[in-house]
Amino acid sequence: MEKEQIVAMAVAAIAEETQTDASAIRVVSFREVPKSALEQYISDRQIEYRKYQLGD
Amino acid sequence: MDDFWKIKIQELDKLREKAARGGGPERVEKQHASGKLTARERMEALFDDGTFTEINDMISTRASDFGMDKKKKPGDGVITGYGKIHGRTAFASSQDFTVGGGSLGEAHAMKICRAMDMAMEVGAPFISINDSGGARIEEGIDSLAGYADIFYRNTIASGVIPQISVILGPCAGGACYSPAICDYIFMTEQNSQMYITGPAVVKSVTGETITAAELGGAAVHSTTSGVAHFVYPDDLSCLNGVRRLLGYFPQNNGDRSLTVPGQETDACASLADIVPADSKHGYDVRDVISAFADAGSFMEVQAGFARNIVVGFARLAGKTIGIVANQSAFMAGSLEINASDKGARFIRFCDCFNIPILTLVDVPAFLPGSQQEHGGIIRHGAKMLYAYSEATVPKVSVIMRKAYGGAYIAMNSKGLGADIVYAWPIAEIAVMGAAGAVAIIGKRAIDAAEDPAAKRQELVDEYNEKFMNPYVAAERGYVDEVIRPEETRRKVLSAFEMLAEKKKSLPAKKHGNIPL
Repeated sequence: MEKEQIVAMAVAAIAEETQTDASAIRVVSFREVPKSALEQYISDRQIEYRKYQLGD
Repeated sequence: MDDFWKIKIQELDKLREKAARGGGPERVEKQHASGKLTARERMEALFDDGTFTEINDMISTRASDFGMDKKKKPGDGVITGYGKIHGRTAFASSQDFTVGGGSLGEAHAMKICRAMDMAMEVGAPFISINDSGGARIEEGIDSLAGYADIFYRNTIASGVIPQISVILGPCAGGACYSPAICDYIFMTEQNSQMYITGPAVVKSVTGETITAAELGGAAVHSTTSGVAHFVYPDDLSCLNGVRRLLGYFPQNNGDRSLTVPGQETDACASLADIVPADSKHGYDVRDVISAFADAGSFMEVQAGFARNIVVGFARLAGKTIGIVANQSAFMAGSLEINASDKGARFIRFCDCFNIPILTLVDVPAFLPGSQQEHGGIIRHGAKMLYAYSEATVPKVSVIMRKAYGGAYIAMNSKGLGADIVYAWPIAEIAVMGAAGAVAIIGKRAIDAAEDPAAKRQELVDEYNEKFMNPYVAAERGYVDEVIRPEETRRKVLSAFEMLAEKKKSLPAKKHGNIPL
């Protein structure tokens, strides 16, 4: 997915959540957060994993 | 920001990066190739996302002998810190096998001890992730002193904060004693080993040829030695297991467990179908637990060891309870040496951490035989009686079927301090079963009878009618109420709610002297 698409989706989600017009939301900065070492390990090996949460 | 700031920040970033690199990409790759996560990845899997904070990441050894001054690495082969598990603070250490094989030296031990001290002061659980070749030989006595410092803290923290050891690689020699003092030990199927002396030493001393897995692998420790409490296929599932277990515990001995909204179950109507009225027929007591505890809430402890007794944590209306149950499906649920040790340790853990205990009784006897007597069943069986007697947490029993002799007493009977004892209508509470009893008390009458077989049957019927029911015990107050099986959840829940504020103290003493 392109960065522009990711930002557009984030803006749309924020607009929906806050019930505001998407055009009124201004993106000041965008930084891609790299995968953590564990996320990379899981992704590289296509491991099915979900961290246990209380109530699971 | 002026240039001096920039230089200093670049310097900090470099040092941090060096510390985070561990043993370098090649060793990390080797770690991954063997199916293991790195020390940092393990911390990430253990704690809630984004909550882990490392402490003392730049500590390194001050040793210089045997070229140690050239081999030193920031962090000294162990990562320590704190974070959240289910939103609650916990501390952990994680040995880094990629740095000097995770060997323990003075600085390495000091880091672990500092984290333990903080856990104690804050009143939060401590999790120790082990993956180490053992003592760092180059640091000599300082390594051994480091172990001693850890063992001492494990002991002082015992009963104050929950302590969990996770063995995700080798754990050899004296290093085994830290996990051994902790409350629970987790292992993985392929990569974990625990032994005091490894296969090579065993071979040289005794001549025995044995592999590391045969000597101290997860299968051995979870079924034969009873050292390990939980076994999982790999690091990720194992650390998820730790997260699940901690969800049952309070933070410390002055705290109470969380109440977790869960799916309530009341399948008690099926209990009469699960438990056969004929006491000669077995059943799986875990089906009984599933029928009244909150759905999916039961987490069995030491499932593969001493299977004649089942212990574990469950929830009733979202609240943690500890369950001790005779397993009718294995050795008819009789108590023997290993079951006594397993049960007693579990009871004591629950008592340390304010977890109410539910006991499900269907016990024919202490297992007879010279093997048991010579192995010290008197000494080991006494642990069960001792543990129940000294426990001051709410204690409720349900006598489901057989409750005979000394084993009846040992399974949280009224005399040992049970707060509430329920019995089902099919319960048989007696000194022993009818056949054995009649053989003793009816011997003369049977020998003198014209038809000994008929006389024996007559006496058995009389014994059954008089003693093999719960009503004699109820008349004398040893049973508080005889209940229908379908009432079990409601009654047990009501009893624990009534007992929620129970306060009971024991006479002042330094500590008791449990038969070890």
